[in-house]
Amino acid sequence: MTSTSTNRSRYRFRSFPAKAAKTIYLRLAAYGIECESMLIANPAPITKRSLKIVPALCLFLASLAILFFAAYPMYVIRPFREQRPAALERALWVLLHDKALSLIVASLLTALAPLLWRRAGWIAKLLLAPAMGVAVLAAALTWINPFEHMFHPLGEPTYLAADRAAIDANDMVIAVTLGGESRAYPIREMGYHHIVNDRLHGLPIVVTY
Amino acid sequence: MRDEETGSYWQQVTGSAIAGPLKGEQLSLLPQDELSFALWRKEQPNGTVLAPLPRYAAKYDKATWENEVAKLPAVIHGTKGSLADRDTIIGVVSGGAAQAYPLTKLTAQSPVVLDVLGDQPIMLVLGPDGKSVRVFSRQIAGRVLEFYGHSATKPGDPWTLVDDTTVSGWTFDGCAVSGEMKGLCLTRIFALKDYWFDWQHYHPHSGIFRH
Repeated sequence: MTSTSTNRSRYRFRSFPAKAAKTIYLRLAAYGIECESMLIANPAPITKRSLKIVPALCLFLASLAILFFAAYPMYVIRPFREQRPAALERALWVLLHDKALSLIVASLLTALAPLLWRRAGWIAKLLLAPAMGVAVLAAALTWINPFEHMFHPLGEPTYLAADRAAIDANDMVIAVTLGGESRAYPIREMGYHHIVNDRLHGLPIVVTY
Repeated sequence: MRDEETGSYWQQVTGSAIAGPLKGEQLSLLPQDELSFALWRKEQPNGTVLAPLPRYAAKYDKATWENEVAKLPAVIHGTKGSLADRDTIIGVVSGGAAQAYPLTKLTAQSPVVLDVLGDQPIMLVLGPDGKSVRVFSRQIAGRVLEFYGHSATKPGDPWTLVDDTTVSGWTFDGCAVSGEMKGLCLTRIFALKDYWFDWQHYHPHSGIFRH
């Protein structure tokens, strides 16, 4: 409880003293971030550069949040690292949902940012520009899994007759035999491509190593 | 693994979908063998071999890949038991029991390991190439057989597998070629050649064969 309230107060942004006539809330409840911006009824001496600084900051934080969202599965599911079951479950959930969610946030962000832009001071503009960039980058990242590009897929498999294949006698193969048809998958090839979608004796099979 | 049609994520070792629209579905495991190329070609002269892609041939594993991979850190920590993380084992599941047989238990001098796993009498046997391993049930025609064998310790030595009970001769295929049992074949049992840490991760209650 205590830690939650500290977090909240740390991220609570009040732009002006409580002279407000109208308040706009932008909540990112999931992240415990709460932003408030106030429109002043009687514009007191506000310097132009700080105009719209709070909504701009909120959009900037939102863009960072979806960037984190897109990067999280890449962090958890990276090679040569133990994947803890709970983290893997979260990462897979994110992988299945991040395309839609980041697309919504990125569209909202790129729609809102230009609206703010006209009335924004230069500090707000300094936040809005990277916010749009980061949001688009994050949305694009959700369509890319860098680790799926580490090894080139084999594509449509082709074969050699057993007596024509240049494989060392001592090299190990994965052998699958179905209805009298036998096929050998050399482990040195499988260790690179990892997955082969194939068909043997009419049956669609996948061979993995 | 991920499938392109539904975007579901699949676990390679078990073949079950762990996330996505097909979560909970299970691929069926086909009988398979891990053999040396020479042995496979002898058994299957009409077989076909997956052709390498010339573009990537330079990136394929070197012939010494096993030594290289053995140096990599294990990605699962907290492995228990008396084996090292990357000790190679033959993993067998039978009658609800899982057991890991260290590959070092099978040698050319003594290529047969007999055991009873989950009430099932089984045999692990090292092939004539000294590299390939197959696992069979020792129960056949209402009897339980005791096998012994020896493998080539020098080139030219014959590889033999004989059962004590009927003195029939058997091939690495598990079929009797001489004696009373001639013409009969033992039932194959699926076995996975794996690293100990990986096997233990999927079979946390697995024993380790010690005899």
